[in-house]
Amino acid sequence: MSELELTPERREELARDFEAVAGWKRDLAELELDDYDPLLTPATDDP
Amino acid sequence: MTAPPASIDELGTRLRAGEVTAVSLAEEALEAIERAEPAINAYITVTAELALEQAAAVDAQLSRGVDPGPLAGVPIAVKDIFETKGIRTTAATRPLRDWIPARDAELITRLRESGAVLIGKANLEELAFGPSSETGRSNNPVDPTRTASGSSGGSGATVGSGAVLASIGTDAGGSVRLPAALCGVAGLKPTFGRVSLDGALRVTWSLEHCGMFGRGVRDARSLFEGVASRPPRPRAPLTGPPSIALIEGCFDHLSSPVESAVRDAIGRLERSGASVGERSVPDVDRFLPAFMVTFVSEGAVGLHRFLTEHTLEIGPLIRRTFELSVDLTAADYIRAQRFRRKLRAAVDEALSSVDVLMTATVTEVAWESEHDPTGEDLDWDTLGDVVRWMVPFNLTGHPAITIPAPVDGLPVGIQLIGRLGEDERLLDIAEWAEAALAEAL
Repeated sequence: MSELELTPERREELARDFEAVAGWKRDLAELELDDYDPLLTPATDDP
Repeated sequence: MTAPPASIDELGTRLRAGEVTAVSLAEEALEAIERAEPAINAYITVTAELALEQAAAVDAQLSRGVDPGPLAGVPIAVKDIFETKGIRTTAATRPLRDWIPARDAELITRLRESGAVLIGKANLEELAFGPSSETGRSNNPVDPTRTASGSSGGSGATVGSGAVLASIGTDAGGSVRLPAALCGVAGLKPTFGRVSLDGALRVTWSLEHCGMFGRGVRDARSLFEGVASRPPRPRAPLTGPPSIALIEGCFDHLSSPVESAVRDAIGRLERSGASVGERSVPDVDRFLPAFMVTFVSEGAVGLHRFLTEHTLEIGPLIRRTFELSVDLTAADYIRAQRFRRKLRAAVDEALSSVDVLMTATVTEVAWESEHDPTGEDLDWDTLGDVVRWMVPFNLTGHPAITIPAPVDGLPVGIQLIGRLGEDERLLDIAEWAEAALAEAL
């Protein structure tokens, strides 16, 4: 079996990992953030 | 043989007075490394020949009346993630095991210009993140059956062993403060950008900081001042005990020995005159999604070609981590950066009425090596528990330092967090705290 083929254990690990990713995305979406606050304002931030 | 110097400052004084030579200091450090290495595995490459050459050059300068610089003759270990011209730089990853860079990282140039002696390239986690099958992990000098952890484990272990007074590491998610706390030494993560990472093989560009280990705060400070990219801001001298605020919730998730050591330390600081209060930092406990999304996204982009070309040679945890990027979107990354801005403002607000914030550095003491939760089988929530009081300040860029708490058993670190850009003030307070903690009850 190639090192990159999915074993049952690796499949389980992947499922857990992507569940964690889904949780991070959900947490970030639920945070109260200023949606219209630009990250960068080149006209003022660029020296 | 004379007694080893107590600090970099004392070493400089003795060197300039002709009581020791840089060559003798380098020889002593090399002997100490040789003695400690079988137990702690702190180095990937010991640069003995170069160290003796550099030390001889320092001695020659001194004999001509030329000052070699603020770190004259100080043996320094550097995490093997900084490019060193003519000396292999492996990042503890198999694809780079024989890579010899054609240039020095800016940090290496600054060390040389400050008169420091490069004693070796310190062991680390693969690419400063995952356990390396190429180099193995560094063991804890306090108890070698336990881990020094990482990712700058070799840099922490060699200072903890007493072989060198100070060393360089990097810290994207606690990677200086974690091994420093577990090995019982001081570990500084300066303000983001204060020390150049040009020529460092970093995974992320917005979380990574160059950091310093010292046997004490003064040595971490000396090394910081010797390599900092920007000059210090003028500051008033510390005229009395500082005001300190614990971050609300900072005792949650601490293991019993850590909580007990932190409470004892608070008592000692108060008895020395510090005022110790509490401040809230809203959402500080919600740091993990923003950290992971930023780390994985930036790493997947920065390492894309490397990961593609060397898929079968890199460690499974590295592969596993950056595979997660396929499920992340630009919107996730932008939300993460907005959270960082909000958290930075919250930390600034908490610091507006006190000198420093304080937490435990790590929630646990050093794990037995086979039970290290940051190893190959790492799960993300456990990682989040271990780094919960360090990572928020990688997200915000605030300077933070860990200093050892007085303990009978395994080392415990106390973390102090200062205002952005006020690294020197943080170091002043950390030196005060270190002295206060050392006072007998």
